[in-house]
Amino acid sequence: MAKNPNYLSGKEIRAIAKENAKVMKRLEAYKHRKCDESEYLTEMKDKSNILEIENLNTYFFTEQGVVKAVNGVSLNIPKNATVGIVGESGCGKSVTSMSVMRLIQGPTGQIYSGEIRFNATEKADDDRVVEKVYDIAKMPMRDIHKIRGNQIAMIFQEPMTSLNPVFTIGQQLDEVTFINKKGATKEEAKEKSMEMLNLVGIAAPDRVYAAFPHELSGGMRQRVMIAMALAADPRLIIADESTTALDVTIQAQILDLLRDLKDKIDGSIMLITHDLGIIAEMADYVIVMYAGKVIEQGTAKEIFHNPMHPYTIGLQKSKPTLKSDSDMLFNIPGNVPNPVNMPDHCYFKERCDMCLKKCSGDYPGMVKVSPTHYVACHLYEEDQK
Amino acid sequence: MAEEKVTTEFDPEVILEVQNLRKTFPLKKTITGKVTKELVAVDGVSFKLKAGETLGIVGESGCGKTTLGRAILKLHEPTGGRIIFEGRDITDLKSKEMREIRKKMQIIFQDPYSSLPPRSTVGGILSEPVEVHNIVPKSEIKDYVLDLMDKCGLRDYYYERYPHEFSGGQRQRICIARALSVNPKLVICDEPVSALDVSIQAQIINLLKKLQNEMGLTYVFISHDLSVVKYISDKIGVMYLGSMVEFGTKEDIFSMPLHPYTQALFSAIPHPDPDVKMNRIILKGDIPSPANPPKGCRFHTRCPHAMEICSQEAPEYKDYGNGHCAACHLLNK
Repeated sequence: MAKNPNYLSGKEIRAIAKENAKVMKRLEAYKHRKCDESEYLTEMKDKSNILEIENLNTYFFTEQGVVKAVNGVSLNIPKNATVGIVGESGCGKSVTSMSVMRLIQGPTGQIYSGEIRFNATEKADDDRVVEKVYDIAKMPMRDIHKIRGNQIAMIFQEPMTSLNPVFTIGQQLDEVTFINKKGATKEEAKEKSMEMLNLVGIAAPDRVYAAFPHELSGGMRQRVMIAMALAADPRLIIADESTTALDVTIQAQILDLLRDLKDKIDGSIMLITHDLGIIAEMADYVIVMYAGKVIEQGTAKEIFHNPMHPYTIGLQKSKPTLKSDSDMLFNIPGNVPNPVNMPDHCYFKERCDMCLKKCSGDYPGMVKVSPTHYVACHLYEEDQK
Repeated sequence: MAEEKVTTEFDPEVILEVQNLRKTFPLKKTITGKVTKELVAVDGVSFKLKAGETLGIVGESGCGKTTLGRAILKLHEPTGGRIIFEGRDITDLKSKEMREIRKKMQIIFQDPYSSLPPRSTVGGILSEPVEVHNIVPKSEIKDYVLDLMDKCGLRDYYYERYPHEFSGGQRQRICIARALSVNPKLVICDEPVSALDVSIQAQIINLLKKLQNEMGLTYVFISHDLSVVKYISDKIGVMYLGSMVEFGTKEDIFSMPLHPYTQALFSAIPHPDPDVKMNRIILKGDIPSPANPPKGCRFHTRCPHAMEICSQEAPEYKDYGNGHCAACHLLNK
């Protein structure tokens, strides 16, 4: 019998825990510090982007070792665009979005390093609109209300569990307005909530406003979740697998709704899913992630018509479509590697069928294929050609 | 449909025949135990399946596809109708007699995380059915199980490991190996790949196909994912709120879907190509509750072509040539 490499002795676990406790304590203190706004104000690299993530590292300090869930991710979300992030479970796509919202569960999960620059528009006292660029990764938790909810909103994965079962839909929707608009009256809040329910295409808003979550179907709850996300007029919406739990016909309704809404609210959408079909249909730009890293990014056309990374190619070939007619499905052998103690070489090496000698060396850098298309693979490096 | 004759003639090619199968669950009972309200989960489903074929059953959540799969195995006692397996009516068999039949029909469950006993090793899980059903002599069990594990793509040193040490795809392989350990003829696959990632999904589907060729299995493949069903099936049945709305060969169903629900279902699938612009039929509203289904045709509340007759009379389930059956008033015009 081969020895199980996942097995750790009690001594080893205690050593890891001691090491982790030190780092976690430092990061927790940093998260809850008091500081002036100037400390986390910064500048955008490109003015046309609404969100820029640069070299983000989000780690989970577990007893088995450090899990690098997001490992040096850089990506941009332009204004008024839909950016799709695609990857399998455990690739870090949800953790990336949670990092942007600063919802990573501490003290185990921490943003270790990196920058998340967000272009926020705020109303100053004299009703002028001021643009401010925040570095979300450096913001202390006490100031996070400046962006969470009112600038960036999130539609969560499971509409079944994300609503509070003991309050009516109306109460939960009104709360958003109360929090984001100081001194709002009950009537104003209700008016706004009704407007939002109408916007997401709920046929009988009066009835839904007074209903409890358990009285609604899955599709209706997801609409309510979207209404709640939109109630504070956010500039960026993060939709994290928001249609995965729904049936196909209901999914089609919700996607249709999201597409309409993007134009109406004049914002950007960060769409996280594992379904390539949804990405192809919705996204302008696509980011493919694998084991905590971005391995390929480009416009939807580039990724779907000219995929370059062996993983992207394999992913597209292994999905049966209504039009494919082959006898055997292509499959990527093996599994996603263990997230603890990642190797130094390319993480996809063990499953790749186009390996070079070089692949055992350093992790490949991002290679520019076209102005918008980047791929992290040794196959496309200059000296290879 | 209730007056339909129950045929008893035996076609040796047909391994499974379901006639007018019905399964209801009681919702409300009086104090004397009389059922006053019931949920009709499966309502009058009929089909025939030949040996070596794969029948795909698609439908949205709550349409009764899982109940149908379990009722065929008699894990749910059917309320009405007949199930004929290899020419033998198994509907009224007692559980002792069913044990013999179960050797020939097995099921693979949806969730590989909860369908394996956490306290037994892989070896234990796989040898138990072999032992219970006396498939091979006791001394040969281990070799038999190792051989089976090899067939299903499991390494031999997994024999002593526990289910929690495996990923979802590996666990599903263990579930498949367990179902096949008794050499069944019919395997009911209840959403075997929906809990898995795309790249792992392809591995499992290929494994199921390979095993079918090697062992001559017949599958009933239940899934909500149409593209997977199309890939693996020979025949497809589309279900909506407990009844079969369309049934036919894969080619017929995909080239010429008759029922408006089937058409809408096909058009709702996102296609992984940004240039393809689908003419999408977006259905309005939600699926009605199966406890309180609409009168007449069950689909009329969401149907884009609903007519007056649809809300009054249930359409007849008829054959429109070449075994392509559907139930819709539009087709009778």
